[in-house]
Amino acid sequence: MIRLILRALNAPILISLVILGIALQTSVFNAWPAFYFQPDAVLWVTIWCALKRSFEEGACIVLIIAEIAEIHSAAPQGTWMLCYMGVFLILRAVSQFTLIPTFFSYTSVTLCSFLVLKISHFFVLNLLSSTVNYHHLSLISTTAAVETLVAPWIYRYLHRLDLLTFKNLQAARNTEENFDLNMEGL
Amino acid sequence: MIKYLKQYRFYITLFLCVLIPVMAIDTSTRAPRNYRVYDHIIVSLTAPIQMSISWFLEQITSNFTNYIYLLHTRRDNLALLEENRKLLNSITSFKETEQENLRLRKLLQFEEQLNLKSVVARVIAKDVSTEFRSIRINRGETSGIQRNMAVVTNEGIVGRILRTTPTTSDVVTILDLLSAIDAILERSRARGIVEGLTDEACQLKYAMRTDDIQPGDLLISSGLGGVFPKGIAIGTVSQVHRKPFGITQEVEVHPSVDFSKLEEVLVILTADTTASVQKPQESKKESNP
Repeated sequence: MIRLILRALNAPILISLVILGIALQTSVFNAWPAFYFQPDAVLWVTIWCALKRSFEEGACIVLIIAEIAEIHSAAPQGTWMLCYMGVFLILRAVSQFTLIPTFFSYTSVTLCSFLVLKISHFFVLNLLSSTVNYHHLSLISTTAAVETLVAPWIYRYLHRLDLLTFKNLQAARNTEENFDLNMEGL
Repeated sequence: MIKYLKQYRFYITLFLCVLIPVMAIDTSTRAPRNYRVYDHIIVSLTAPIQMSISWFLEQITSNFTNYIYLLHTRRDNLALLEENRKLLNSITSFKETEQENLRLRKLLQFEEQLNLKSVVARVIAKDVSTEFRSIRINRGETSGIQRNMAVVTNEGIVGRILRTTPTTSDVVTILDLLSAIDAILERSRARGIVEGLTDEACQLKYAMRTDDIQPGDLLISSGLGGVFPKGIAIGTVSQVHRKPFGITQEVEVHPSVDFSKLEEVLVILTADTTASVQKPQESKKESNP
């Protein structure tokens, strides 16, 4: 029962972590020169949801965290949602044909996702005829580097969270086996 | 129905995943939104964290910056004190130059009025004794100065050249006991000889007892003697003593020139002693601008 409760709490905890991450990235990295290295906490969780969650659950979490990101942004409503959802869907599709063996393999996934996110964001903004600050394109290299280099450690902690909340596939399987054994009276 | 939903849930989810953001964009382009209820909840969660982190970072930055500033405070203070000292010196120098410029301009005007050929000289020393009241100027024979040339300022007569060297000259002022200038009163045209008396006053000698002399009357040079041009102010009558006997009266004269503040003088190289070229009242006015 406790395992089921913990498993149910996984998504709220993940969303809470995103809220904390957004609060940190918007306050710690708001001053010069720190904003050159501002990572994107939402993207990490989006990638994690795309690769480690079911399609429905992942889509719901991504919609929620994208909405949280939009609350902290002056971008037109729906742009971040569309971009993060685009990254989620592309990753979801790509993951059907590729294998990601280790946490360090996530660096390339994160880098590609980051570039896709930025390109799609500028694309959407151009479609909306919003004023695009092309000066921020110069920030892409540094933020992409930070985003990519920190990614393995972030995913390691997310993996640990999944283990603690029995969200991991192996942990879920163990839970089901224990459940079966209990049913059989063992 | 549920069966179809379960069967096509992937496509339904995919459709919603695309539809929701597009609808959000569509509504935002129609009317800009404000914070909604759940937005307020999210902001109320993140805002305290943001404020705390910002305060913490600000404290660190502020302390670090203050420490850095403190390191340079002594050096900056010394540099500023040095700069302040230099600026004060400059200000004093500028004020001095301004005053000098003013005095020289007056001398120049005076020279132009008199139409004289003259040399501007600076007072560099005073008499070594207290009994005699001569001064030394920084111009001498090389500047064309010779003995018995008149020395004046825009305020009036200073004295005459006593002796010269190639680079300096000694001037006997009208306060000196050896000085004697033929003078006339501007108002009554009474005549007399102005001689030195004290550090601050002269006396008009040989004025007839019957002459009309009143305190405040202006004395000007008569032009006699060939030293001083006619019409240059000498001083004003300060006191008049008429004795019931005798043929002269005692008249004390306050010099027009303030010898205590004398710094630049004009040495008249060629003097036209016959023409009255200076109006004494103007000289008086210039002496008190």
